[in-house]
Amino acid sequence: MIGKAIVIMVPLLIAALGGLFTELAGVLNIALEGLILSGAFAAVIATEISGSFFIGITAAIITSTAIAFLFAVTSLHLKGNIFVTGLAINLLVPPLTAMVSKGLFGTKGVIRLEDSLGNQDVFMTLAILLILTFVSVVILRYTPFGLYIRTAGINRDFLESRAVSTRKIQTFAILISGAACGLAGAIISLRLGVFIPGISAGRGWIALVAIYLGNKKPLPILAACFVFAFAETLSDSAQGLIEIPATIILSFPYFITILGLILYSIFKK
Amino acid sequence: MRKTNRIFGQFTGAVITLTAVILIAVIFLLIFSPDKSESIYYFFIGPFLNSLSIGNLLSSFTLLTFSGLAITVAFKADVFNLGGEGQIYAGAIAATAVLIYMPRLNGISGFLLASATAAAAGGILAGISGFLKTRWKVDELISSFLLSNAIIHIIDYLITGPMSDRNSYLLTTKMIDEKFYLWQLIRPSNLNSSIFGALLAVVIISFLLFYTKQGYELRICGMNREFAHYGGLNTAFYITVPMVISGALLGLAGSSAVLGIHHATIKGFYSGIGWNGIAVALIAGTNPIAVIPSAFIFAYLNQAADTAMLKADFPFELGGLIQAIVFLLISSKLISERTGLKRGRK
Repeated sequence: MIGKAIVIMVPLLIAALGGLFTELAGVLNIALEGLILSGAFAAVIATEISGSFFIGITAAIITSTAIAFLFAVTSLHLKGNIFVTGLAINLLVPPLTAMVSKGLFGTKGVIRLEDSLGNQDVFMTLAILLILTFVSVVILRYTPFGLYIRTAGINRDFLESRAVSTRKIQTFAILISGAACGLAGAIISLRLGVFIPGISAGRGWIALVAIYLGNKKPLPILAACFVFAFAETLSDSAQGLIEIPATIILSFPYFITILGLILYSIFKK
Repeated sequence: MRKTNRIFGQFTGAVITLTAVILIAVIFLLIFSPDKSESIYYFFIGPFLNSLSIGNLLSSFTLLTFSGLAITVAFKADVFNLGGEGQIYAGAIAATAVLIYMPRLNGISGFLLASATAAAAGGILAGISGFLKTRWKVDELISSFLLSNAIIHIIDYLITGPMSDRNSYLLTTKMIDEKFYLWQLIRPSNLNSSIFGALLAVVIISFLLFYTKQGYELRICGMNREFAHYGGLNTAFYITVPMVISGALLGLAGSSAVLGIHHATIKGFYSGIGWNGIAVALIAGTNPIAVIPSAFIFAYLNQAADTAMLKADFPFELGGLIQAIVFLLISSKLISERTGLKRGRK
């Protein structure tokens, strides 16, 4: 069961680590959800057309980064309200995916691939998770870029006084979160070999809460993602043991997330 | 002088956004539609072609007025209510439950009890987020969204499970009794007497906000919470109460859809009312009276997108796109700093 949780937590952690860059840079990124969804969609489309998972994943990363760029332009350069523009991204992606899929495949609904990535080896997955976490720690702590990002979130005037453009740093952070969400989305859809509208299923929000719960530090975020993934596994297997209707199970991630958020707020002091 | 400037600024902001939206919609139609002239024609004229579409336009206006007003109240106090969809759904299912399980009520008392229960259901749901904010500083924009999404799945379960109508081909609850139906104003369109309720709600909310002490205090809290706090106002009160009012209005949107249009709770009917409420409020720029024209424009845009898609076999979800574009543009600096939303959050 722990193995299953580790597999589930991969996309969650990747999205959360990407979101960590924006969060530290002082950007409230509620667009994670839409970015994950666009990645999941682009991955399936590109894999279907090219027949290669690698191209699918690359396309997902590029697509989500492009949409993240739109988010960055409207919120940073046009100075939109970051909350409203983030919401806009989340609202923009579902109709866009429906349009493209209707145009390409004549369906607004499920797109199924012949093949799927399937479940990879648990220890490999675990190793990759640890490496990713480690890499983000290194980037954020020990590189000038990481320092700029953290400073952007704390004191932007200081950064400007050093002739570093906060806006540029924040734009980069948003692009990184876009790329990460694209990868996360690709993993979600390619693992199953299918795209379903709404396949991101609140993972962007869970990732956002994982960032808060993890106190904006990579390792605790890893732990928080594991807790969420484990809770999801538990509720999945609860379905087999007790008779809980499937639709109610769908609400669990949200309840768990809000519970996590409340606990975080209580113990923050 | 400054005041006229401010209003003018707000107005131009909304006009620029809406022009951009219509332009983008037309461009999409021109690029993707198989029959360009027909889809453009239906996009602009479609909503006014016959009494059916005019009625449906006004019916959608009713729901958007409720939800736009709800979000406006929250904005006015500088709190965010992102849980619109769940609160509408909760109101609808609460109203439906009252009328299904208490069939012996007469028309009037059934209407009153159902509306009150719906308002309470939406109000409590939003109020929880307000409470969490005041008690533990849980960000209400995230908590209201998460709660709403959680509750949507539970209500989906109620609709498909215990309350389902097994004879219907739709995923829906049982129908309410005919004596509870609101009056149809233009048959066979959806327009019903709840349009007066929506307009009345605008009047009441405007009165409360601008002509009562509490409304004044709420607006002060919305403008500058710290100042209000040092002025001795109970600022926590003005986080929870606007949330509750906002949720109650959304609950009423749900019950008016049940009593006036669907006569049951249909799975997923809330889509297009919840988020559009936020768009309506943004265009209205936190002015409750301006919700009326703003809701009308949105109802028109949605109706236009729908008719253009139906008539011209246009496969694209123009409605959702329009909404997203409004969100992307409305708060941007190019358009106006005066739309009333003061800041981004950290």
